[in-house]
Amino acid sequence: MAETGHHDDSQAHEVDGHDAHGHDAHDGHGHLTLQYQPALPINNGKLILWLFLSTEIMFFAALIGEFIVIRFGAPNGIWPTPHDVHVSETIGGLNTALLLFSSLTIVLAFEFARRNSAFLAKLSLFVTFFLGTAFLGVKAYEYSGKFSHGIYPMKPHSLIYDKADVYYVSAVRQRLDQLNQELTAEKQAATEASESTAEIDNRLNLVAHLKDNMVSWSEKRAMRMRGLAERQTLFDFLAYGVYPLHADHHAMEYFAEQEEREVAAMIKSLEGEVDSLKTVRDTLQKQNGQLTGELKQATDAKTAAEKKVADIKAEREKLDAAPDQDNETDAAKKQLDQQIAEAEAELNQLTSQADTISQQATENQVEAATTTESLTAAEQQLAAATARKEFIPEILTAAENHGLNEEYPWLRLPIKIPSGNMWASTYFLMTGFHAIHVLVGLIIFATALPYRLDSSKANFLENSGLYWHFVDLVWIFLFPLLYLF
Amino acid sequence: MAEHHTDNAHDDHDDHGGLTKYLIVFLALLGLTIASFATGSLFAGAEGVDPATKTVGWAVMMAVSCAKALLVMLFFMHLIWEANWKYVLTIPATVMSLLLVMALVPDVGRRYRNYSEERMRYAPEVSLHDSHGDHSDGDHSEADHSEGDHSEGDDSEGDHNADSESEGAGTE
Repeated sequence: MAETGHHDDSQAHEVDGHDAHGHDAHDGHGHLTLQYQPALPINNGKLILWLFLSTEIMFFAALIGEFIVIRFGAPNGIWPTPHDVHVSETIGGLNTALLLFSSLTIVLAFEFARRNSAFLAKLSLFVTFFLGTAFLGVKAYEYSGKFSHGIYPMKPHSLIYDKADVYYVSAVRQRLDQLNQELTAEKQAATEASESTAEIDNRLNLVAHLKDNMVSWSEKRAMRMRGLAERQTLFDFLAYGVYPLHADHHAMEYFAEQEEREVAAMIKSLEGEVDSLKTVRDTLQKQNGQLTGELKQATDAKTAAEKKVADIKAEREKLDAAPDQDNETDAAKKQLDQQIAEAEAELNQLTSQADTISQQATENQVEAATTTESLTAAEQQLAAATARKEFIPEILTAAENHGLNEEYPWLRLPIKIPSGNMWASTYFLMTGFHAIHVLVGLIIFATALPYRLDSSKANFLENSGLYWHFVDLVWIFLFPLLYLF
Repeated sequence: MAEHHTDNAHDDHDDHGGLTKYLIVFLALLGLTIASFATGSLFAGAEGVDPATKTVGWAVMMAVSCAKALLVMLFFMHLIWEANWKYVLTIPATVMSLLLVMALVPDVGRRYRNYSEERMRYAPEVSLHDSHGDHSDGDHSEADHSEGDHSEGDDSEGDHNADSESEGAGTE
């Protein structure tokens, strides 16, 4: 047989009627028989596996390559740090150690099988299998951590928004509305079942609190702002309270200070406004009282004057109807006419007075109504501003405790992570495919476990080992790219 | 020794491999992992590190990864003891992988290179209605972009201002 490493790249050939092995190349009947010589000095399984691994190299080159291009092609400085997306380097390192160790044990399994130490080979294979399973377990733990923070590969599960813009804020609002609905329904169910609603009430209060002081305030204030950057920062502050990013820390503290000052100024001016409006309203109320009194008097006087006119007219008519019409009667009539004229003049004056007063009273009432409206509005604004001023330090505290989503896991508000969706897609794609390959490797190992792993199985172990080493290779590249970069 | 040819594990491997070799390679791999981890935590992933140091850190980590990969391929996967066919399989695959990545750089990799700040704000979203209308009154006061006020190295749009002003936005 040809010596190790010395492979004729030849097919069958004869030398002096004998083939390369020195056997007679002719069979018993004198026909030429050809001996099959392998083109490569490796068995078929190994050859096929290496061909397959070349395709796997291309497969993972595509995935890892696109990750590299996307990550380094991201806008300058905008890529989530591992801390932002809950990636723990230590756990990644642990996984690397597990896979490296399992690579060692699979090659040892092959070595033992080759030496016919079946027991040690099986032991090594078991250890490999166990380490691979541990790797998958750790990965499952990592994934569940991501999911619990709302980091999924795709929407709608993914809570990630790339920017804190109006779409983000409206998504937060929608989530709060949804929570409100759900909690109210729960509360009803709990009340009907005569259970305690204290917990649900707390949650409802928090939801209302956030909706008013965080979302509504930001939306209304943003409407009044002219500058884009200011609006952006205001919304960023909202996002910061929900899910703080380390890089935003200083900017947000600065913004919080600024806003506290501005809101304090607003409160002061609003308080002044409320006070002056109250004064105006009180004055108007007093005037109203006065006017009402005057109006009553005027109306009474008018009624009296009307009565007087009527009386005199009646008397006049009596004179008209008198049987004897002489000069006395005429004189009396004239006098009465004069009196009527005077009385009517007086009546007119009183009527116009009464009308004026009535008009004044109406104007006063209208003004009072307007003032009350303005006062109510100002008081509402004042209440909102006061609540907001107290809320700002709350947001900062929440951010120190890793955000509202962390403090109240049931909230699951949308979060802002710049380039977060891109990160999530590439991360889950790469680690997901890798995990599938690990699983396939484990299945392959499992098929060998029931057998006695002597030298006849060494081939199998070598080839499956090759596959496993490739999986390890991919992880060797994935680990720094995903965890350390 | 079997006389036959297509036989398996006995080919080429008699003096090759060996437990000590594998153990040494494994220890080397562990050591390299720790080195990579240290570089990453101290230099590439840390805060307040300037970009040049970061890039060097990345290069070191990639080099370490390549070294680890080579160790696994040469020793654990036995390539160091295999014949020349290993080049036929590995070299074209490697070349094609590199070419694939390089082919993506001009279009995908450089797409944010000359973006304006405003385009950055609005581009990735699919908007159902015109979200540009509210500021087309010429009010572009992006000057006091307070995120740019702090000096951390690996940071948000503050850094982006430096290389993207193709439209001279506002009073920067």
